[in-house]
Amino acid sequence: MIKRLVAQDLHYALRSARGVLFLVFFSVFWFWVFSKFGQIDTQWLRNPESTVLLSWLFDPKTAQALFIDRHPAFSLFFLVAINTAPMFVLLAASDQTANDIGSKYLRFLLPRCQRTEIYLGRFLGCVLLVWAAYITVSLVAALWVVLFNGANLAEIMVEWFWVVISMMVYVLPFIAFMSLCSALVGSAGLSALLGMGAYLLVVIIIGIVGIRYDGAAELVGWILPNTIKPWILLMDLGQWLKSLLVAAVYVVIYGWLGWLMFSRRDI
Amino acid sequence: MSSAISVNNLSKQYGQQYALKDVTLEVKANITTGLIGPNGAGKTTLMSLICDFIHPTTGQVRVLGHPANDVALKGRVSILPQDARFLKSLSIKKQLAMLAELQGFAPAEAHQESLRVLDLVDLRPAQNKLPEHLSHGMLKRCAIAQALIGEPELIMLDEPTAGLDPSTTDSIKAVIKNLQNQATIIISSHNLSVIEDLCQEVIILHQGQLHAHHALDQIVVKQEALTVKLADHPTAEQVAAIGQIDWIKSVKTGKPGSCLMVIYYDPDATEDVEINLLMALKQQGMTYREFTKGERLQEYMTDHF
Repeated sequence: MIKRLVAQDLHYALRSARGVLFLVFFSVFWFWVFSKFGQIDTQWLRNPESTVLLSWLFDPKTAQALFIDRHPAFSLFFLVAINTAPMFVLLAASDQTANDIGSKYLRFLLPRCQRTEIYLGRFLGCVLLVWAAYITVSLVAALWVVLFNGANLAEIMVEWFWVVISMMVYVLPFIAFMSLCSALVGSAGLSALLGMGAYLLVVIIIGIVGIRYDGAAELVGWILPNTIKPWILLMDLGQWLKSLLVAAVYVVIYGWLGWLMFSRRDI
Repeated sequence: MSSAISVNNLSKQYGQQYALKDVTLEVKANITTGLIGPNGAGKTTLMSLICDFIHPTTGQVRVLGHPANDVALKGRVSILPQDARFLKSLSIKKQLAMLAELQGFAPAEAHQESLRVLDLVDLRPAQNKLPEHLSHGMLKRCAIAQALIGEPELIMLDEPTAGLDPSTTDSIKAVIKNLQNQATIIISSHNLSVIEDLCQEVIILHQGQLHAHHALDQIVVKQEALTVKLADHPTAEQVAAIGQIDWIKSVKTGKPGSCLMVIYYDPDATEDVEINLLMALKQQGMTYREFTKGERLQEYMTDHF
């Protein structure tokens, strides 16, 4: 049943306003980013002076992992992808159940499937859509780097694999977060607004609290799944496994809260 | 006769307001039951509770022997929800096929099933149209079609004829009649002639509470009564004169302006009741427009609510 629901969700995602809107924004953004890639001297990122700058921006280990151990152009893509992922995922995952609650379409589904199946099906449909989008864009980025930045294809494909599985893990908690938002309201727009609003609010709180109480800001920061980003950026198996574990915890917490709302609400 | 639905002390509260209050009833299996009542009586709420769309504040619902949210009910119960909308940008045939797949049909069979139910509601020519390009009546027929997918044991139809033209109403009534031997059907409607034509039992809700639940002929007298629709509302003198006829037991008139009169007669006291009544009406200078055997549900409802 879940397989059918997922298939139908994906089928509809490519025809619905929300799916098309996400794909259009996503494509336009990446088209713009790739158009700028040619103008950047990515080899400069490998120079000692740039390494000092990047070590200040990240930390020496991350800077080395991204720009010295791996191809800097592809790492640059990875950095852009991981930093913009929350925005795109919050948009793509905003309408898991929200619109169908508002339009009461779920009343056609509920005599045929269980609430659990609907909730899980919509989550998984969203996960597959977002994964497909990132697999595609990172493949384009890999080929771009090979063609225009003279990277070695075999090396880039290994890095591509790392980037893909890292992005797959990183987006999961954000999708679960939107499952919760989507179950709370009755329209996709409101769900997106709620998700982005809550995200921004936490970021602002972290910023304000961080001015005086660094430890407290770090604690508040755990509300959002961004906390796993530094581990993912290290591109190290141990760190990746740690981020996978924590991402799973986020998914369980957000997903469970969303399920509580969805299972108890009138539809 | 076994019960298809068993409702026990069921209440649904929104804030301080009760949409349904302490309702207990049993709906018999394999018959068609009408669910009627004025606006705000709780009809849609009761159907929504039976289908687990909403959760009760108190009380229990059992459907076909299972709790309302039981997995065993999936695909066995279908509903025409009053205000549910189809997905945009997807043809109605595709959407019906998707729903059929969720009921266990293989993709090819689901396609055939969608065409079958579209045929039942005369909507096959519109199969490739998007919901946003269909009229209200066509959308209603499409929603009815989804309730007919598969072989549901319990079919609930919330206002199946609202917004439909008379000809389509008749064809929907024919579809429901054909299903009567195969499933338990519950119809909620303000169109009381539909209820009278199709239902054996009637549940009447009023202000969230159960007002009556009886066989239709226990609610309205089907024998020994004639309902006459007149050209003008009868005067008190005319009613008194008709009431004095020896074979007439009593006369009841509808609300002022309704032009209705119900005659209760003694069948042993006269033969050819209809002819005798027509003559009596003529003597009193009363012109009739319609003549119906028995009382009408419409008048019962008008009298009580």
